[in-house]
Amino acid sequence: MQPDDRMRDRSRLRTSIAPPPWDELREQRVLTRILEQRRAGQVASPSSSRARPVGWALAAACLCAVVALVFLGRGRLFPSSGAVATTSSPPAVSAPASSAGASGSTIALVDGSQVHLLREADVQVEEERPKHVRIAQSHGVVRYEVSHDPSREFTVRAANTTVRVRGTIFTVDVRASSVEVRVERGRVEVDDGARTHELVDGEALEVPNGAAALAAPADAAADDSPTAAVESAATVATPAPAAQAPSVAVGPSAASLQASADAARLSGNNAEAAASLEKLVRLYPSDPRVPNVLFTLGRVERARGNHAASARAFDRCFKAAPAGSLAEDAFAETAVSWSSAGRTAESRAQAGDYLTRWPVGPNAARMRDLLGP
Amino acid sequence: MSARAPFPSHPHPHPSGVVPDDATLVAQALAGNERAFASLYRRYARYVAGVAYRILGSDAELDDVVQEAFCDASNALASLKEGDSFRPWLARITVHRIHKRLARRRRWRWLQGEVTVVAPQVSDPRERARVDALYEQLDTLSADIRVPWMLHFIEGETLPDVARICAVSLATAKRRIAKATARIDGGLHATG
Repeated sequence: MQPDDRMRDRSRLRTSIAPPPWDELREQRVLTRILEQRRAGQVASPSSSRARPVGWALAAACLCAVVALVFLGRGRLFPSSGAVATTSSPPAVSAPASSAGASGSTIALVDGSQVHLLREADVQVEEERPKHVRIAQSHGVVRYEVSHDPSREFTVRAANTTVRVRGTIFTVDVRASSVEVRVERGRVEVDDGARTHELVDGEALEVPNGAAALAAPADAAADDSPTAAVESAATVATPAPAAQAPSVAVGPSAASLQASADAARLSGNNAEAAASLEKLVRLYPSDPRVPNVLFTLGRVERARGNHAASARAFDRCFKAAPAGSLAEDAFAETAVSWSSAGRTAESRAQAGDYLTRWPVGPNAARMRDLLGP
Repeated sequence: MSARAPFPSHPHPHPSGVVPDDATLVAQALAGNERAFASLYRRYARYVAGVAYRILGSDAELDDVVQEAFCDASNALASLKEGDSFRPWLARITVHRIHKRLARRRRWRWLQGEVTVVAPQVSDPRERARVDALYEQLDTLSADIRVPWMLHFIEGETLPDVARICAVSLATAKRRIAKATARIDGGLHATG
């Protein structure tokens, strides 16, 4: 290849790489963490200089230990997951919710599949071979994006439930008394130990203590449709009275609604984004994402020019988490949106209330502007 | 290269409608104005995320890299001589963090004997194989030569800017890019 061709080739490569999956919600989440650190003084305090000698000593000790372990037991202590053909037990990866930064991390598998640790997730990649991937999920919520490969078996084991897929996106939520599987796209097979159920797009299955309770769209029509097949299987597999079966929300998962909203906003479709965000809050009112979602909804409505709706969303955000990291901004944005909506009385009352609560807050100047001379 | 932002880059303009420049925001942030710092963040978070995403080839560590870069920036803001040069200064901090991540990744892979290659998503599925092949070659390079090459050929930075961002002389930047180019071209040629 000639130099000019190479330059053109690199230029084409540059445009081939997709933009980073960076959205408003992610931006806000990271900003919240940074500001919390700033407020706690962690960022400003130069602890590194004092901690460095201790840190170096610890690092040296760890290094010695690691070197010793590697030379004494390489292969046993750190089983290789890269040697795809021979891997049998790659290391566990866990992300407890309390671990900052770990929640929301992703495990990229060799076959291109991705395992997103959403909340309190604890998973172990038990086997990773070209024809078989096996993951054990013992806790939390994990979203699986499985690359399509009909020749490879991809299974997720969660308590007494096994999920088998070929290529799909689904979420597994392991709770104390049940395991819930939700399918966003594609088709999965769920084995609860007694029966096998097939789930398709938008369907969810909850398996409590060995018996299966099913949630599927209520408008299943023909008996031979996939939904009807799942319903039929559930009837057989659920001997417990309906009243005792745990309730399962029908519809898409919170993660998929959030993803839909993000995608809609990125494509400029704010109406669809607002609908997805509203639906998320309605279906999952106790989800920890709700304050963030309501804040985003406030901004989406503002972008749509619905300033009154924006004010109401910011107000709901504040009320959802009055001591949360977004509370102060949400309170101020409520005042701004009321002002933009022409509701001067509400705006001034809100701005005055803000200045009472946070007289020297970061939004104080804007609030004084709203109050006027 | 970048997707259309769903919101303006500065979502909270001053009531007067004037969007403050970087130097003003840096000065305000130094005076303790948290809102000014948040404005700088909103202006450049996507830029930092983009650089990190393309160089690292994965979004798994994106939140952490962006957070670390801005925390470092907040910590060292007083050392920034000219507020107008906030973006290249931030790029330098980001690259420093990426260096650490790449080094950590290499160490971890050595310990595990892992050969997993991570590559970013592609805009055109037909380019998937080419981008994978490129990142496979990039993963064989040390961060010292990988990062300047990426900054120049993928991020489109000029050679003097690459030198500034990597905190090396222009001659060193050129030498590292040339070395990376030879290794990448050789690897791509060998794998067909």
